[in-house]
Amino acid sequence: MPARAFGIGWVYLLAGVGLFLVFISVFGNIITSFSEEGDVDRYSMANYVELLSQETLGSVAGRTVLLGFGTVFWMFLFSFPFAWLLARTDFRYRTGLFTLLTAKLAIPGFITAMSYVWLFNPTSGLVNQLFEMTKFNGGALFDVYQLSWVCFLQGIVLVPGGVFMMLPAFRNLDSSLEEAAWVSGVSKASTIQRVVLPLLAPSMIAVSIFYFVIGVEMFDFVAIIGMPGDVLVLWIYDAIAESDGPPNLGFAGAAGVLLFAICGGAIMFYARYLKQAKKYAVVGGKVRASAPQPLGRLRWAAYCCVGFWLMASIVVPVITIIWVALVPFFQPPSIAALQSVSLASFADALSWIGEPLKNTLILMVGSVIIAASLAISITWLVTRSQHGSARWVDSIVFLAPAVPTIVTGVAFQFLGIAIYHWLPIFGTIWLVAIAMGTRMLAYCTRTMNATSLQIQFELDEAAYVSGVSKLDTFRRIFLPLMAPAIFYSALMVGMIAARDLTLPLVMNTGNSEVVSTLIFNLQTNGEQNAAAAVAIYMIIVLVLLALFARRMTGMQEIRGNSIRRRSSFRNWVSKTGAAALSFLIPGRKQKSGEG
Amino acid sequence: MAILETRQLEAKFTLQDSVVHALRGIDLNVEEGEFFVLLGPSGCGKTTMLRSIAGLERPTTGTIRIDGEVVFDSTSGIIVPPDKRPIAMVFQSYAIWPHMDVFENIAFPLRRGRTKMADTDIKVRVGEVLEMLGMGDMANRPVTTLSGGQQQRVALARALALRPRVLLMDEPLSNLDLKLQIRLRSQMRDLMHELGLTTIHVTHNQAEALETGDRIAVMEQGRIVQLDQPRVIYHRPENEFVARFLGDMNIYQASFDGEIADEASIRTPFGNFKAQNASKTSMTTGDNCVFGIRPEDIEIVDDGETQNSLTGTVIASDYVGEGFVHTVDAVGQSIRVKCHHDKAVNKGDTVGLRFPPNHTVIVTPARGLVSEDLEGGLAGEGASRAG
Repeated sequence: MPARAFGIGWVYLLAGVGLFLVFISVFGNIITSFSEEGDVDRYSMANYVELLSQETLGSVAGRTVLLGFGTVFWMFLFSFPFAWLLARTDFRYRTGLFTLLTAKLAIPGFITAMSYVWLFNPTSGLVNQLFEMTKFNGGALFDVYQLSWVCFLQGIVLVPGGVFMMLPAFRNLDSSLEEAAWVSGVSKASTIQRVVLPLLAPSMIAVSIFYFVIGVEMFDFVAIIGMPGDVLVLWIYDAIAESDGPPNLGFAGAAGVLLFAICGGAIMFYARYLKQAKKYAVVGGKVRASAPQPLGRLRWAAYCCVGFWLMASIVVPVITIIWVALVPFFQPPSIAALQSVSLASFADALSWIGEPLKNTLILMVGSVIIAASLAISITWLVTRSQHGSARWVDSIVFLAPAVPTIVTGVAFQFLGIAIYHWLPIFGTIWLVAIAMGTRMLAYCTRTMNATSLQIQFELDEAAYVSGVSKLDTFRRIFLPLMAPAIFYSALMVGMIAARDLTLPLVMNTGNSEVVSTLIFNLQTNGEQNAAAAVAIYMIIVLVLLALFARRMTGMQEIRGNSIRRRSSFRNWVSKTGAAALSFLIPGRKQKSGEG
Repeated sequence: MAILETRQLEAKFTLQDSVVHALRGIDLNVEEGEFFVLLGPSGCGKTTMLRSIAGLERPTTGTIRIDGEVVFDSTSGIIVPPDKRPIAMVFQSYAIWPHMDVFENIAFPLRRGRTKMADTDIKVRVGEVLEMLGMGDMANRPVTTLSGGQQQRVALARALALRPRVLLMDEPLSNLDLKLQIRLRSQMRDLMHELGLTTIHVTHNQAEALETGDRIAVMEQGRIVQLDQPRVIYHRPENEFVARFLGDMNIYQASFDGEIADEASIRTPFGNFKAQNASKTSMTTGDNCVFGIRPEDIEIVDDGETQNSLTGTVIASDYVGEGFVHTVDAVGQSIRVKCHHDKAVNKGDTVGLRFPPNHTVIVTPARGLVSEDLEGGLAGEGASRAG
């Protein structure tokens, strides 16, 4: 059989394909930026000349950075206390909070954005209409079209990812380090200031930098809300979606390179702090879980903090969307409006949804297959092959998340045009699936690497010395042991693919509408009622998927310490799953570029 | 003909910035059916040696031949991958595949490995080895529910079922509790002899090595420092390292004073003694040398004994369960003496000691060896990979 003769070469081949796709997402955009008007045959510096001649370049770049900082500010304001509540205190509703954070992952950022536009549009927003009716002032109460609003909204939707990324640092904090300070006569306050915070700092800084990148590259809110004055993502999108002519991929590429430079610089800092955080973790040695600290009167502050976030990020958007879906035309609550409530929009939505749903399913399955199969091959190459290339492959894959989603979209659009003669997938959902799969590849690889490193190398070696070939060992030992990680990665990729707006929107050329772009287009065309109904369908499916994923990992995520329990097979499965999930959740946050 | 031969095996690898010289020119011949032990402290190169034989690690230079076939040769560039070598291996961690039950753990290499046996033959073979190891009723148990000792037996069964030409074992007992270790040592050795299986057993545990090995190679810093039968290794250590590593030994400076037949004369701090010369270095009268005696070989005698005897004061008595270890001071040297309960010796007593000449041995001094290193090595031995 030729398949057998090629042996482990198949795995190397898949890893090579994965690497090639990552290369495209990292460097393809740079090539695009030199092409004149996106033409695959003509290259020059023209796009950079055009970019640099933009009068607003400085202010746009400045606003982009400001957006990143603002997003991190709001994210941190909630994530840090939440992570502390979950990991270190006796907060009564820890399980509830954890469930809410998981459920929030299922509400796509662009839907949250849409709900806030419906509420706070200065002229037609529901709240502003109500406020106007009071004749109290006559003006609008809130104007959502502000950079500060975008920062706030991006910040609150990124909270779950932030919490999940911070939790390990809180858990790995050895409580005996604090106790050592207390018994040495240091006060509790000084202990926190001098011991706890310095130990947490590197991880917290790493998380912040990471979310800075996401804040900068996130497209959902900018796309829906827009703003007075541009940011870089919007420039890129406008260049692609020019209403008066063909997409200008070249200019989008040049702006993308600038965005990539900002993100890439941040990711390098991120890597540095991540290393430092790991160094501290090693010093801690054997970690002993701390007894939960009583909150005392601080619990009221905790309730307020959790309550505000819950209202702003889940309750208000969901109620708004339900209301808009229920009333036949866009109107604030009133007696008349209540009388016109009907479920008609849900029935109508079913007639809209057919083709986009089919495309969404193709996108999900396609990107899951691409991401999972290529990622597992790369993971094997990096963590288990002892191949000389392992190190630089790992570095390149690590770099991939620095490429903003929208920039990946531009690079793959360009690739689609370049290869159109040989493989006409430009403009189809398949190219979107390839781009999406590549985008996820880096996150899947990180998750799988972490899991793979927990699986003893001797399990492979035991097979080799028993005369089993490398390919058979890969298939019968490595893959089954990695199954939980592969499963969770696939689930996450599927969820992100289902809800992502950025790539389908950037790469959509008319034939590949998916559910998320359907909602976007309905909203843009003023059909709020239909948009809301489709959005509710989407949220229901995603919530079910998210809760299913969480159920599979059990409660390990909260307690953390049961991982060290004596392993039975079941424990082992859920342990591996928990490890997978904890790496994936931040991962999924970053990639989809939305909350 | 030796079933396993190595010639001038060298292994160097870079760890961070430093170069580790794990093997320094190892020449080895292991005979068919032999239970061969590689013994040494952590970092001595024994695990590297074993993994090189298995093909899991690649030596820098040298030759390895298994059953007459060259499996590694640096000059001709022959590197046979592990799955093509006629071996089986038992790992320290057992490396039992957690997603397979007991039967499948043993059957999988038979089905997918070198042999590719038919299903019916596999059933018979697995049944045989499980029966042999007293696990006949456990074939369908998930391996994660097994105790450490049972997992160890599954690992052994998996290796035995392959009927390898050479069985490699890397500290197979070290993760078990002490009682079980002691019980399994002799069982394991007897089983291998019964099967006529050539076994290379790596351990840092001297008691295990002495009890199981037909021959023992003691390794230190990438070299084999002594290779012989357990009895010889223990009673005639060639050098100070071996003397200290296997059990306890009192070591003192002396000067060489000639040799008649096999018996040497030495001038010691305690007077002129007769001793065995185990050292391989040639000495002439007046040369400095080192000699030693094991605490349990020292006899407590009445005064008046003159040959190989001395008088000292007991400065400490430590109860160690099976007897006492007394520390005796004589001419400023401290001597550890181990004896049975019924010897009534108390702290402060003056005692006569005799070093029987056939237990007093001249050894080669260790090369700059600090005894703390040795003890640290013993305590620290574990999952060490650098081996």
